[in-house]
Amino acid sequence: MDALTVPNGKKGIGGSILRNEDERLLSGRSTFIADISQPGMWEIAFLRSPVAHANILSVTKPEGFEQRVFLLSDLGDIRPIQADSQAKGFRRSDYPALANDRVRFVGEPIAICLGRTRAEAEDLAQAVFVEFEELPAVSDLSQCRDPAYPPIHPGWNDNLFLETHIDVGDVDAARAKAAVSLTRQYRMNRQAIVSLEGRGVMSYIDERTGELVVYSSTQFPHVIRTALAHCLNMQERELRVVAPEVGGSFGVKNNLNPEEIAIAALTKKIRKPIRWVEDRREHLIAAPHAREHRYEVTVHADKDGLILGLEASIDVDAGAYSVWPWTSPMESGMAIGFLPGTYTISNYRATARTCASNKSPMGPYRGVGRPGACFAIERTIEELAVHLGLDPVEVRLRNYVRPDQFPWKSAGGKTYDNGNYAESAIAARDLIKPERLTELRQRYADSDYLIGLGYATYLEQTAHGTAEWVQRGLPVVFGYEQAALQMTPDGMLIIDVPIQNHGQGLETTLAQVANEELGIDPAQVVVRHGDTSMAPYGMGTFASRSMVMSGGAVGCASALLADKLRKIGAHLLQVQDSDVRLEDGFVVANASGGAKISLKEIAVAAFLRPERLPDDVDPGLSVVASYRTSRDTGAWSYGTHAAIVAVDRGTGMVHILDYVIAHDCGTIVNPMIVDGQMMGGLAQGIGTALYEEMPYSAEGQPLASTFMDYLVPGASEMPHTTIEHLCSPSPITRYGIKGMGEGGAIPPPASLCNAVNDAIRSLGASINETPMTPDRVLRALLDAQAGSATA
Amino acid sequence: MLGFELSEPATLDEAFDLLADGDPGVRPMGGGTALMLMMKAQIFKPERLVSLRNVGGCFDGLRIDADRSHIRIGGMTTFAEIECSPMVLQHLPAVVRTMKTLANIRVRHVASVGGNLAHADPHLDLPPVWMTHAASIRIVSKTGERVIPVEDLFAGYYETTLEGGELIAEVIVPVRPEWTSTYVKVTTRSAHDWPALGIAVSANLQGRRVNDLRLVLSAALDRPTRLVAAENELRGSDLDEAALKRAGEAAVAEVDIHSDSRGSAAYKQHLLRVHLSRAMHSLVGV
Repeated sequence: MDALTVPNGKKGIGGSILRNEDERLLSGRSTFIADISQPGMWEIAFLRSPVAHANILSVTKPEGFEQRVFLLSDLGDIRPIQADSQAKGFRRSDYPALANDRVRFVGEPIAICLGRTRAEAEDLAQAVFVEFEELPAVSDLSQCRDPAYPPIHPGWNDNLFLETHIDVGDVDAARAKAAVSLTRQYRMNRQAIVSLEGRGVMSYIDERTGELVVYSSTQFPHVIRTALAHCLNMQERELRVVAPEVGGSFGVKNNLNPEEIAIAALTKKIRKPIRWVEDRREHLIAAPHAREHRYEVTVHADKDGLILGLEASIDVDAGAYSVWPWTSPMESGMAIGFLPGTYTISNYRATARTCASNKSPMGPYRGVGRPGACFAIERTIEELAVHLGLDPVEVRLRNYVRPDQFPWKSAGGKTYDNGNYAESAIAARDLIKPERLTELRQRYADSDYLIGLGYATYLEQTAHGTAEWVQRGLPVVFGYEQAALQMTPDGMLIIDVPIQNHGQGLETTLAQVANEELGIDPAQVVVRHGDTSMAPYGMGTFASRSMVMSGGAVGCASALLADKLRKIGAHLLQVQDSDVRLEDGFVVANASGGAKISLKEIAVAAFLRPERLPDDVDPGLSVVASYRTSRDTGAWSYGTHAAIVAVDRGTGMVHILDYVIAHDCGTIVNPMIVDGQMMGGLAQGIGTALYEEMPYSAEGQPLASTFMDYLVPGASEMPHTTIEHLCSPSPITRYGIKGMGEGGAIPPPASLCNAVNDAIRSLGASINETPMTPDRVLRALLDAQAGSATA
Repeated sequence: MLGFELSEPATLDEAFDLLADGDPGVRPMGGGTALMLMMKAQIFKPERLVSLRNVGGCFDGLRIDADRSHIRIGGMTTFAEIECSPMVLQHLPAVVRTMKTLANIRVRHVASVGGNLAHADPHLDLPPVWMTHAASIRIVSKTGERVIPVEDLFAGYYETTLEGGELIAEVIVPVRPEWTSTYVKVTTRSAHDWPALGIAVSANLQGRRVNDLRLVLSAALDRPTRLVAAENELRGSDLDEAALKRAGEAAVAEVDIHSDSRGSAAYKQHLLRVHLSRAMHSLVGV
C-alpha cells in the first residue's frame, strides 16, 4: 500500500493511533471458542446430511451409544427458525434446529453426537445409520419454476420465495426517446464466506444464577439471546449469551444458526457443558453462502451517454431456507434497490426473484447484494461508454447525482444523504493515470499480455435505521445502539457496548470518541463487548453500523458524563460550572493560568468521598445513553476504484498491475484503521472477482469442501494499492461519521471485470461472469477467435 | 478416529520386520506430511505406522560419487536439506528453484524425498523434476535391492510399483553439465493453489539446436509422464516457433487429460501447448 498512514499525534477523532486490542491478538493470547472450556465438557460432532434432498425414513443410533446421540425429537419442545419477511407474497420456510423428516441441503444437521473428544464424537456420527429416500435436487436457478422439480417446502407450488417489482417513472417513454438501448447479461456465482475462525458454540448451566450460558462466535449476542429465548420457550433473564474473541465474521456469524438452537436446547436438557467447534469442511459446505446473482440489464440512453431509463431482471439463488433475521429476499431486495447506483436514473423498471434450491442458505456477506448490483450497473455503464465511443469516466460524470441534489431519493427507493460522486471518480482517474496505458501497451506489445483499465463507482448504505429495516420487511428492526459508561474510582473509564468487535478496531475507535468528549487518554479506556450480562441491550455489529451507531451512543454517554465531571470539577476548583473545560484528563479552569483537577481526584470524590460533592450532584459516575441517527435512511459512503490489469492471452491469467481507491466515508475516526478495512475489503472483493466459487453438481453436491478446491486470495494476490480519503461529513450522524466496513469489497468485481474487458476487447472478446478464472477468460478469447474465424 | 501404533525402528532390519507384508493397514512413513492429512480426512486409517526417521545409513543425507558422476540423495532427506545444499545448487539448480514454490517452509523441513515419491500423488512437484533429470531410485527390501528409473515407480493415481516391504533408499541423479533444466508449476488460479499442470523440461542445447531432451508432464494426468512424441519432434531440430508448435500438438495428442476444478480438459491442453513452448524458450534464455 502506498503512503501507509502513520501515527499522527492526535488521539481523538481523526487520530491514527495504534489499536488497543492488538497486543493480545498479535501475541496469540486471546481466547476464542476453541480456547474456552468448562469442567467435564463434552465435545460435539454434528451428523450432517450427505445428500441434497431426501426424505428421512429412519435414523438408527449405534447400539450402546443411544444416550450420546440426539435427534430433534430428543430436544424437547423447541421452535424452528422462522425468518418471515413482511413482503407481500413471501413464502415461508421453517428451518428446524435438526432435520426431522426431510433434509434440504448437503451439510444440514441431522443429529448431535457427544464424545470426550471431537474425534470420538466424529466416529460416533459415522456409526449412525440414516435411511434416505432421495428426491430430485434443485441445483440451478433455471430449475426454480420447472415442474420436474418438486417444491422443497410444504405448501409451495414451485421453488420461488418471492418475486418483487419496481416500476417508477416512464420506462417506455425513455425507451422510445433513447438513441441507444443496450442489453447485457451478468453472472456473479455462489461463494462461501471464509472467516479464519469458523463458527462455534459452547454452552453450560451456571448453577449459581440458574442461567443457560451460551458462548457463541457471533456478531450480535443480545439479538441471539432474544431469538434463543423464543425458540427454546425461555425468559431472556434465564439466558446469557457471550461472544468471546471472534476470529473474523464478514456476515457469516450474523445469523441465528440451527446449531446454536440445538446446542442450547441439548444443554438445557442434559445439563452438561458441551462445545462445538466448526471445522473447515463444515464451514465451507454448511455455513451460509453468499452472492449467486444473475442479471439481465437494459440501459436506454441518449447519444451523449445520458441515461434515460433502466430495466432489469434479477435472479438470486437463496438456497434451502430463509435465514433469521435477514430473510431470504435480502440479496435480491438489495440488488433491485441498489442497481440505479450513484446515477440520476428516474425511469426504472425491474423484477427480482428469490429462488429456493437444495443448497446451503444464503446469508449476509460483506457488501450484501451490492457487489452484484454494482457489478451489473458499472459493467453496463462501461459498455454504454464503449458503444458510444466515449470515455467511461465522462459518461459517469454526466449521470452522477450532483452534490446540490441531496438528499436524493433514488429510483430504487433509497434516500442518499450527501456526497460528491464526481469528485471520487476524478480523484481515482488522477491516481490511476490513464495516460500511462499507451506506454504500457507499447511495452507489452511483443508479449502475450493485454493491458486494460477499468473503473467502478460504488455506494455503501451504512448505519441504516428504523425506516430502512421496516421497508425491507425484517422481523427485527435495528434502529439504535446503547452504551454504558462507568468511571472507576481511580479515574479510568469502562465502556460496555452491545456491539461486537471482530477485527474492526472498535475497542480503539470508541475510546477515541470518548477522548473527543472527555479528554481522557484512549489508553485509559477499556471497551468491553460481547456479553449480554455486561452491556445494555443492543443490536450488534453488521451493515457497517457500529462506528456510527455505537460511536454515537458512546459520544452521547460521554457528553452526559462530561457534564457531571465538569460540575464536580468546577465545585472542587471553586469556580462556576461554565468556567471550566475538560482537557487531557483534567478539568481546567478557563481563567488564565487556571487551576486544574485530575479526573482521578474527581472520581475519588464521586465514589469514595461524597462529602466533597456539590449538594445537587449524586454520587457515582455511570451513564447509559441511547443513540439513533437524525434521519434513519442511512449514511451513504461511496467511492471509485480503478484497476490496470494485464491479461495473459496464452493462459487467461489476470494480473493486477495497479489499483487505486478514492473514497468518502465522512468524518474518519482513525485513518489507519480505515486503510486496513479498505485493504481487507479489497482482498475479499478480489476473491469474488478472480478466485472464490462454490460450485454444485447437478445432484446438489458442493464441489469445494476444502481450501484445495475453494480458493481465497493470499498475500501474493494483493496488488499495489493507493488509497485517497475524501471527506463529506454525513448530515445525519453525530460527528458526521459514515460506516465503511463493506465498501472495499463492493466494486472490485466491477472494476476488475471492466479492466479485463478493456484488455480483451481488441480481440473481440468479452466476459461478464465472476470469478474470472483463467479458464473462463481463455474461453472468452477462444470463442471470439472462433467467432471471427467463422464470420 | 481409531487408535494406531507408531513404531520408530533404529535399524533397517527392524523396520522390515515391522512392515508386515501385504497388510494395507501397515505403512512406512517418511516425514508424514501427506499421511497426516489423509488420516485427518479419514481417507487413510492405519493400524501401524513405521517411521524411518531413525534407520539412518544411506537413507540420510546427500552425497556425490567419487567420480562426480552421480548425486545420491537419501530417502529420508528433507526438502529443506536439498534446498539448502550448495552441492545441489551447483549441479541441479532447477531442483533448488522448484523448492521455492513447493508447499511451505514448515512442510519442506519435514517432508522426505522418499516419502514424496512413494506417495505417488500426480500433483507433486518433485517427481517430474527427478524424471526430467533422468534420475533413478534404489529400492531395498528384506530380500535384496533393485534400481529403477523414477518413471517406472508410478503405476497410476496414488499407485506405485513398490512391493510390500520395499523401501526407497536413495534417489540417484546423474550430473549432466551440458544440460539445463526447469520446472513450471502451472497454477491456474492464485499462487498457493495446487498445480493444474507441472511441466519439467531438460535439454542438451547447442545454441538453439536441441541435441537431446526430456519432457515430463504431471498434475494433469494420473501419474507424471514422459512426453515422448513431443520429445521426438524437438530432438535434433532447432527451437523455433514451428517446431515448438508441432511439439505442443504432439504433446496434447499423446496424453489423455481430464477436467477437474483446476480447469477443463480443453483448457489444460491449451495450457500445455503454451507452457511447454514458454518453458523451452526459458532454457535458451529467450
